[in-house]
Amino acid sequence: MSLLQLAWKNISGNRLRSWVVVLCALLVAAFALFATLLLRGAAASLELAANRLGADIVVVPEGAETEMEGALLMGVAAQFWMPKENVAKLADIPGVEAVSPQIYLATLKNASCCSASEMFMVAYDPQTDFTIRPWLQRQQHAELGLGQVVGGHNIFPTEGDDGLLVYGDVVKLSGNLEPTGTGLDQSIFFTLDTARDIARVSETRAKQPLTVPEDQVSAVLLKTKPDTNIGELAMRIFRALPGVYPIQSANLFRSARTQLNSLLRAVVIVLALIWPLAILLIGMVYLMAANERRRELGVLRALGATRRFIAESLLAEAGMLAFCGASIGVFLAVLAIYLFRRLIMVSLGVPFLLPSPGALAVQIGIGLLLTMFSVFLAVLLPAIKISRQDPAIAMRE
Amino acid sequence: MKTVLGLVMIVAALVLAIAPAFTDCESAGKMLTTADGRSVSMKCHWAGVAEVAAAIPLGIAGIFALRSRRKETIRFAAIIGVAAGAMAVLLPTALIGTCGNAMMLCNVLMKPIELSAGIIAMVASAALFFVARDQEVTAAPAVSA
Amino acid sequence: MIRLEDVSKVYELGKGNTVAAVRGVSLAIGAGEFAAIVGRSGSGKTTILNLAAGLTRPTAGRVTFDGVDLWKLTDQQQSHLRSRKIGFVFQFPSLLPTLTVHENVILPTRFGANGPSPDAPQRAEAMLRRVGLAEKLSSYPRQLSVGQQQRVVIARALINQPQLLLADEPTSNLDEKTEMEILGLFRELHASLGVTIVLVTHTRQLVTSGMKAIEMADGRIVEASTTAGPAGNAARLPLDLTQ
Repeated sequence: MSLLQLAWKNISGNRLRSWVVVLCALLVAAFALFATLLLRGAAASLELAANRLGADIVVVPEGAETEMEGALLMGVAAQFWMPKENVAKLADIPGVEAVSPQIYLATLKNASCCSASEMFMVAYDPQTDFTIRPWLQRQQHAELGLGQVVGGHNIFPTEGDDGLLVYGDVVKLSGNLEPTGTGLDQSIFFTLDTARDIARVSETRAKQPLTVPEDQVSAVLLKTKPDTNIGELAMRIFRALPGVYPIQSANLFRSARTQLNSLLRAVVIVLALIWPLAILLIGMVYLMAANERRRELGVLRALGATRRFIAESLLAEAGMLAFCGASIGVFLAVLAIYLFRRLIMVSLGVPFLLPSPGALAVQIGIGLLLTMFSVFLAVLLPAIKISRQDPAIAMRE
Repeated sequence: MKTVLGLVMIVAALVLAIAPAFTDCESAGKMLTTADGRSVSMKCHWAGVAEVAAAIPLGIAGIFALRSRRKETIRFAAIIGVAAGAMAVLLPTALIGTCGNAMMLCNVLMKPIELSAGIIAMVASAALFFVARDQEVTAAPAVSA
Repeated sequence: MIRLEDVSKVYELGKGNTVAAVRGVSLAIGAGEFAAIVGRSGSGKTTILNLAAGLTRPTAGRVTFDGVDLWKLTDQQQSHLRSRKIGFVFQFPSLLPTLTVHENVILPTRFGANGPSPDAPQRAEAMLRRVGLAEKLSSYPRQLSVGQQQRVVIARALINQPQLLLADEPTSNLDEKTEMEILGLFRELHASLGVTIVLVTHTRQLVTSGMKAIEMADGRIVEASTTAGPAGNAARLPLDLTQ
């Protein structure tokens, strides 16, 4: 009979004790992996969204920073305006290499003339744009023409094979962008000319016409010259243009990052409580087991088992239980994250991107190993203590 | 063990049957408006209704798992449980589906809940199949005339 | 074969309390002998057995097996010796409850320098047949009577064909009829296998002809003799049985 077979027999012989160890391992593995996937997924999503914008500074009307963040992160439609003349003024500030205005629009709420309710729409100037066109080129889409839009990952056609109804106008969905896990996945992008065309059609076909002001813009994206200090440039913009707010890309999604940090803190605290408790509980279970099985282990020594065999058989038992518990925990964590990712985004207000299969496999592996290591740690001292018991004393009543 | 698994199956069945009523788009007041102005339920609602068809056999299988002492009966209940769980998973995905917009309530809440319950039902039923064994039946003492 | 030279064992009970279970005992059991250690409860009989098997370290003195000091061996060497050369029959139910009868009997073959031998299952079956339990291979200990369990323990103790069998009050929990059956089994095994047996008992009536009887009280040997055969040739032995 092998060590593992003997360990399995002992596990089956005491279901309650075994389930306690499995449950502890399950909780540690599930919580640790769930939290890791959540935090890394949110951070990756924020990183991707910030990189996708491609701008070093985003200038918005003062007070509109939070609305801007909500639109980009969660796809919450936002509309704010500032004078179009700010674009030229910003271009003249030393250190600015390129500027490109964007207009933020939204479809109507629950109106039949729009196929999606309150969808965030971004109109860009193709002459000056340096953010959206690179995405299109990277994904091998052609430049957008009149009446054409490109959608975030979750946008799908509702009129025929490739049409979307926007303010009564059917626009062609030319393609979808790669997912970011943010509100950009629920948004559409088109040129300013297309925006004006939609506005013209909406006058007769929409429940409420779309207004695209000629003399206003929502935001201006800035690219800085090399070696320009972005922080100092932001201060220059602040001083030169009252009524605007320059958001540096590093500070983009500040509230989401703060939220993420709070989440991280909460997770660390909970893990710091769960992990040692689980180890203590498992250690206690095995100390109790040592007492209960004292005589049995003494008999094994009398039959010729070495101290090392006794310790190894206890560690094998704990290892099998830990692996079982950790596997179930990891499976539940991955299932929960995958199935409930949208609920997590909505409830916590953080974006989320699933990791690639390779990255997921690595995180699962780390989760399993860490949990099994924790259980071994918990059982090591009891196992050594039990194995060193005087067999004659162990067998006494 | 079979008691625990049977209870898991029954709870999963209850979740499958009840959850859609509170988590489909219709529960949030969203319905489809037809060309002639009528409001009709969206497909997520029908997927939720169809889940009851999966929940009933699953619940019955769970009850059998709890009460039966015969290995064959328990294994049969386990097979039904796996099939019902699979149906619960397929209904909101491949068979009927849910709304297209990923951020609608049915996709955010209803579908994950149904899929979780379906997967858990399948795993519990599969485990039940393997742990099923004949239970010892205590015979009533013979009564002499 | 087994020799205890001026051996003492003091147990620490904590808070400075100690109990001297064995005091200055010298004892030699030769190969092929059948010895019985008798005495009241607390006389040190079980401790002598534990010392002989190396299950507890003597506080003073030396324990040797075939001339080798047990406590100069490593844990691995001692365990190997116990596995291959010494069989133990315990007073309490000592079968592992999670293993079947067959698995319990095979268990000692798992230990030892070369690991389990491939014919261990067959040897276990043969041993169980010998003790009259061939039909109970797949049963669990809880499904056997106390007497049947003790037979399994004897089979387990003999699976590795040990040179020495130590039996600590093997019949104390049995009824008289079963007790006689078990003792008969010991006698039969001693006669047929030639295994050296040391039997601990508190009942002098169990000491039969041809057995070396060692009486203990308060941790010391108080009397030693060989029992009379039918011709009544009982002999008193010196208390220092190493001479």
